[in-house]
Amino acid sequence: MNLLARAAALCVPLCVLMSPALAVDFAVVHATVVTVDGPVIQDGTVLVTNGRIEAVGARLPVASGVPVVDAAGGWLTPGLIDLHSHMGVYPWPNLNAHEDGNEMNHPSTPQVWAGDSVRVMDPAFSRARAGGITTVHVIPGSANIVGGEGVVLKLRPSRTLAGLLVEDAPRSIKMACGENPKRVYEKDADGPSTRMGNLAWMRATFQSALDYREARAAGASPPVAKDAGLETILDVLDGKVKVHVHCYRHDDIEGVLRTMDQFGVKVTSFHHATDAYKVRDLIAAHGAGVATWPDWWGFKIEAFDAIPDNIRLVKEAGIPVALHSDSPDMVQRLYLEAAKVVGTGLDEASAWETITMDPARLLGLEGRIGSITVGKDADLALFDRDPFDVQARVQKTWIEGELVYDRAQEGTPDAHP
Amino acid sequence: MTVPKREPLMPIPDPRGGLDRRQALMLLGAGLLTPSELLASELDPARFSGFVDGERQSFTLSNGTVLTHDGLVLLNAGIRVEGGRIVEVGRGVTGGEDLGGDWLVPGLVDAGCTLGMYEIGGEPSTRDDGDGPAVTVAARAVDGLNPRSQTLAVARAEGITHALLHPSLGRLVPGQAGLIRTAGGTLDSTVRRESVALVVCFGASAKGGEGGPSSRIGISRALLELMEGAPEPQALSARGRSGAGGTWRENSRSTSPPDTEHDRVLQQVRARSLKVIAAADRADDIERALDFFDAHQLDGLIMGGAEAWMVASQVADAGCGVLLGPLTTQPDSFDHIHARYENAAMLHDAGVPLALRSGGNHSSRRLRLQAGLLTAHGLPHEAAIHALTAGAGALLGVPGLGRLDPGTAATFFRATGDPLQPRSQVVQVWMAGRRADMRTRQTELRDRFETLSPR
Repeated sequence: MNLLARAAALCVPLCVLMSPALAVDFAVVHATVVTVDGPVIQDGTVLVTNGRIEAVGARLPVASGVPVVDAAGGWLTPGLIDLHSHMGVYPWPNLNAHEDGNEMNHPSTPQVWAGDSVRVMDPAFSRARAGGITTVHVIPGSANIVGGEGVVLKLRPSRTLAGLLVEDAPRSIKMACGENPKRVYEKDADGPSTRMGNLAWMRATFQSALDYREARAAGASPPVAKDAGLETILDVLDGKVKVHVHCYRHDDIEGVLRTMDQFGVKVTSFHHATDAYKVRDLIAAHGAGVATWPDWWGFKIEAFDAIPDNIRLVKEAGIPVALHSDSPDMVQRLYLEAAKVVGTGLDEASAWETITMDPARLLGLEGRIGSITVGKDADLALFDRDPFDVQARVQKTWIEGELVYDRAQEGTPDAHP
Repeated sequence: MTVPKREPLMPIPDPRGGLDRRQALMLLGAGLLTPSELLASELDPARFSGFVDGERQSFTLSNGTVLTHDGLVLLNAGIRVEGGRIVEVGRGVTGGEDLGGDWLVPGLVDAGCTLGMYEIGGEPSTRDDGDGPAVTVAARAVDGLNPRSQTLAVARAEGITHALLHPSLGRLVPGQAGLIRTAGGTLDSTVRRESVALVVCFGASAKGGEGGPSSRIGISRALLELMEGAPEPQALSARGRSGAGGTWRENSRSTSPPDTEHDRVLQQVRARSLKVIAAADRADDIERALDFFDAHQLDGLIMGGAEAWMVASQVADAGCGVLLGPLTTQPDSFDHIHARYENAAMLHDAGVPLALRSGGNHSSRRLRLQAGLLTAHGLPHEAAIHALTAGAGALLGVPGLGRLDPGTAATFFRATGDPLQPRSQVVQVWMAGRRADMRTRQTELRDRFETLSPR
């Protein structure tokens, strides 16, 4: 490489930073930047180009002409991510006719997709945006052993589902065990009414898909008709779909792992998992994650042993933990829920991971969201102070560089957008 | 797997000499202890009192940050307690235990919840939070209380020292609310006031119960009939009441002396010797509740108040306090379409006296963070503290409740920082000068599983 070429190569990154011709969308300056993938940056600058993070660092130069957002010492964080949401499928207001989250007519409904139930203009979405949430994993409820496929949404203002969809997100499926399926189906002739029934249903579901594949391959006559649900289960068995299991009790977690191991299925995460701390070694050995709350407990007996230290103990065991909301109320303040976990002794960097990087990992989107890293989507939340301070409020939220919430303009979002 | 072992927040000396409950049970299981050897520690009822100290103590704490019930933050301050009562509080206190800057905060009051009335939400067999027909005037929340409930211990460990218990809503008149403290172990020691107010529901929360109304028209009619059937209060009847005499409503009242608990309670309500708490969220239901108070000259409070900001001036003009909560910020029902974060701040600005409530049971411990959140949306910090402490005491009519005054019971807690902040931890609670037990089932589970056993 001659000298001239080498100089040109060296110049490229600098040119990207400096040249208005390359269309830096905007810069946030004078922010305390919680990058999550590195130390907190004081007096930080974040440059956004074409919806991506272009650069991040302390007091970076900003070319003239680039629109600047002066954070004035406020805190800039990655857009927050909720791994367990029913927004849209149980939209506000809570009404009988709005119950679109559980296809409660069969213990296994792998053929349904949560995206088909989403009320696109659920007012909960705007409230979540005002809480710095940018990405949510909307999943079916826990009535069924196999509840159906989930959908990953980015909370842009939109009148269409297409406007919310993260189309290339890895597929996910919601499964469940414990009290809910056995309660819902206890009066059904062949539905599960016990924990052993739940796991038998899980095994039977996997086995029926394997049998279906065999029959299709054997070219049976008459030919076995294509079954959308069983095709989905085959994709689960083939590792093409991330498996998220609603599961509270430690022995349910163990039982699900035993069942999954039998069929070679990897569990991506256990949701709610209020007993996870008791079997964190098993969860770590399997390579699964955990999604849970800091302090919900006692609403049913399988959540009676929930402890505030669950997240700390599980996280310290090296397991990714998504601090989830499962609630259109809590999702508005996920950052304060993370602050509670700091109160139990978890370090702040780890607490930040539970609402950003860890849920990104468990969605399979760790290369794209979850931290303020060059090249990632410019999904950002700007707070007026340390978000773990109870008085903190989100000032602005961006999704892929687009300003989707601005407190100065909108205040608290109204009931009817 | 090894994880750092933390000391329990406050080790409890064991009367048997260093053997804790779990160790004792393990030894018993291993055949190393006989049941009779276990009895002394394991079967001492005092273990379940919620107190570590058997008696009211005398002690001094200094070099702390005292947060008064008016929300003043006093640095380099402390408290001196004698025989369970506060003798001195503030900047002048020296000596005794050094708090190292930790905060001292008056005990928090959850001004409306079902604490201790059930263990497991989803298990009817554990629930004692009310039942029966739509109107159960004689029903008392304290009769559903389990004073040894784990839900009390968990709330206590987060600084909640008192709670107004009410029967669960969902019926027109679910019964009477009472005041408890979150330690005591026995009913006698835990219940402070068996009856503070009669609870009446408006709007969606009134729909339910056998034979109850299922519309707002029916709710108003049923409440009118209830009050028409209520006996005349003797005192008021004797001196007459301006503006009430001679109306059809006045003439239709029973004048016979009360002969049932139902009548006796309604007579107290009429005589304003028992408060009425109206559960109402939708703005027009709050207006109806204010009209109900006015029509019957009742000593009323609003409970809930999700849309109260829309009628803040009417509430203020009526001189009516609000037991605000649970925190409702969103259009999650047609009774909450106009709920908003600024609700508390707007009521405070209008001059409405406030107390705060969780409305829950297991969720009571989240009250201090909910109060903090209101400060992020315009409620002054001192107003939030007042609402959680002395403001609640004043609205419920309980002298001394929530106050840090010389002469009042020494009921307060030590925290690592501002109690409204999520990162602050409650270190120790005192009630009437006795150290409360900070252990809960949850801290015991934490300690048991800090390190995992081999199997």
